[in-house]
Amino acid sequence: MADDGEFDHFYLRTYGRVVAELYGVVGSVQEAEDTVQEAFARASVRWQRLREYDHPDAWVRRVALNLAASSLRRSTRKLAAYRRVGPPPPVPPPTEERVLLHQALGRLRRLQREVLVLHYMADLSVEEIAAVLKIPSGTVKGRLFRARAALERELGDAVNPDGTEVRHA
Amino acid sequence: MRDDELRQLFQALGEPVADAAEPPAPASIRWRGRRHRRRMVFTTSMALLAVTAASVGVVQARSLNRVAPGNPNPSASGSTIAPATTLPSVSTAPQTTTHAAITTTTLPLGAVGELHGVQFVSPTQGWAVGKGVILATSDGGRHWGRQYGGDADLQAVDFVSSRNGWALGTGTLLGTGDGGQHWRSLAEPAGGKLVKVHFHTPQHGYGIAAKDGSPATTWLVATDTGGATWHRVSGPPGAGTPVWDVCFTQDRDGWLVAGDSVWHDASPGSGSGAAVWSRVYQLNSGGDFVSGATLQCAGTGAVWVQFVGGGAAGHEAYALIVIRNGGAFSKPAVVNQFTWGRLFPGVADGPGSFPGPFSAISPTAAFVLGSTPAANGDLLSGMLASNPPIGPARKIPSLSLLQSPQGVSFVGTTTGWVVGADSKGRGVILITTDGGRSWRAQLK
Repeated sequence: MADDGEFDHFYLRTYGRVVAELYGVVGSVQEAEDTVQEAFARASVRWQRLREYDHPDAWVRRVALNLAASSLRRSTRKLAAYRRVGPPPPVPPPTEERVLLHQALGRLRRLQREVLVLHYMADLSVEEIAAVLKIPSGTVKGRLFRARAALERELGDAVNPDGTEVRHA
Repeated sequence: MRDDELRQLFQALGEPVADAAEPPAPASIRWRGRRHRRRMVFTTSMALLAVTAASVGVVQARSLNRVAPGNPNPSASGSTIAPATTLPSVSTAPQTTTHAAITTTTLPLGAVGELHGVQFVSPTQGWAVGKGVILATSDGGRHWGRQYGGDADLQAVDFVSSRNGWALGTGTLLGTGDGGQHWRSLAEPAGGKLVKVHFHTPQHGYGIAAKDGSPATTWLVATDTGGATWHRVSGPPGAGTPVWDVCFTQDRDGWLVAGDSVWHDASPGSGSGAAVWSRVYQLNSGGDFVSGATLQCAGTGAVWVQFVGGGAAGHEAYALIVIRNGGAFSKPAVVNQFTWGRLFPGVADGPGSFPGPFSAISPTAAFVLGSTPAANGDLLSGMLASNPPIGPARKIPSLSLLQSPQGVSFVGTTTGWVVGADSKGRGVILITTDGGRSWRAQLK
C-alpha cells in the first residue's frame, strides 16, 4: 500500500533522531525507544492526516513527550520490559562530556529538559518549540532562558566545584 | 557557554543514541497502531467522536413495519418514509429517548472497508460491522447484503436473537428489533460515550461508558429499555479502574472485569435490587500492568476473559482465562509464553506474539486469534482454546488474505467466521468449517 510505504519511509528516516531527543528528556534509551515506538504507532493510524502536515515529525515528537510525561506508567513499562528481554544493547561508551551533560540534565526539571533538547538537539526555533509544546513563544523564551542558566550552573558545579570557568571543546 | 558550544554538546549526547537506535520493523509499528486504535476505541480522536455523534449518518433498512428495540410501537404497516440524509444528533442528557427510525431503500453491497466485528447467532444467520457498513447474511455467508451505509464507524455487533441486535461505534449506538430490516439510532449515557455494550434480553443490557476518552473515567451503565435510555449503576465496591468490560447471561448472572480482576454478580432474585458482586479471579501479573481486558459470557455461570498487558520486543502480553461454576473454577487456557509464561508455566502458548480477537463457544471452548508481525505483513494464526483440553492446540496456516483480524465468531468448535481487512484496507470475511484448519473467503 502506497500510504504504508510512505509512512514506513518517514518512520525509518526519523526514528533514531526522535529517540535521541527523547533520551535527552527521559534519560533512558530503553524508555525513549519504547515511548517513541508508541508515538509512531499512533502516527501510523493517523498517517492519512499527518502526511499532509509540513512537519509530521513534530506531531510524533509532541506525542512522545506527552507519553513520557506519564511517568508512572512509563516506569512500570520500562521495568516490565527489562524483566522480559533484559537491558537494551549498549550504545558506544560515553565520553566524559556526555556523562556530565546527562547528569546535569537529570537534575533539571522535565519542562526545562524539553526546551533544551528541542532547541539544542532538535535544532528547533523558539516558534517551532512553541508549536510542538503548544505553549506561547514567550513562555518558551522564558523557560529556555531559565533552563539554560540552570544547566550551566549544573555543568559548572559538576566539573569545577571551585567555580572556575568550564570550557567544552 | 556559547550557543554553538551547547549545541555541539547536545549533539554529542544524542548522536550515538540515534546511530545505535534500531527501529523495529515498520509492519510491527503499524500493527501496534491498529491494535491501539481498536482496543482503545475511546482513546481515538475525541474530535472524531464529536463529529460522528453529531452526524450519525443514514440508517438503511428494507421495510418499515417492524419493531425496533426500545420502541414498542411499530411504524404504520405499509407506510413509506422518504429517504433521509441525516439523523438527529445524539443527546447526552440523562434518560434520553430513542431517535426516530430513518430508512431508505436497500443499498447495493458496494465497496466495503475494514470490518471490525462479526456475530453469528446460528450457522446461517450473522452480521458484520465496520466503518459505515452493516452486512447481514441468512445463508451462512454465501450471500451478504448491506443493511446500513452511513458515517458511523461501527466497532462491535451484539445480537441476542435473530431479531434483536445492536451495533456500537464511536459515539453511535444503533439498534434493531427485526433482524436489521430497520436500524435506529439509540441514546448514549449522560456525560459519556458507550465503549462496550452487552445485552442479555431485547430490553436489558449493560455497558461501559467513558468520559473524554480516559480509561480512568469509565463507569458501568445499564438499560431496561433496549438502549433507549441508560442509567448509571454501581459496580463492585473497591473494584479497580478502568472498568474494561461487562456481560450478563440473565438478570442475576453477570460478569465484570475491572483493573486486573473479574467480578461475578450472582445475587438471588430476578431483575430488581442491586447487584451483589464478588471477586472471583485476580490476574497474577507479576507486577506488570494490565492494559486491557475483554470478556464474553459463555452460558450460565461461565465466562471467558482475555487480559492484555504491556508490549516489548515485538510481543504483547496476553492470557485467555476460562471461569466456570459461577467463579468456583478458573484456569488459564492460552497465554503468550514469551511474556507471561513465567506466570503461567505449562499453559498452551498463544497463537501469535500479539493478541487477536476471540470467540467464546461454550463453557469449555473458545477460538482465539493472534498475529506475529513480519517484514512483509502480519502472520496470523488461531487456535481452539480449552481447559481442560479437548484436543491439541491447533495453530492454523497463515491467513494470507487477511492482514488485520478484527473480529471472530464461532457457532461451534468447527464453524466460524473472522473479519478484518486485507493489505489495501478492503473488508474481508473468511469462514472455516473445520475448526480453523482451513479458511476460504466469502468477502474480499
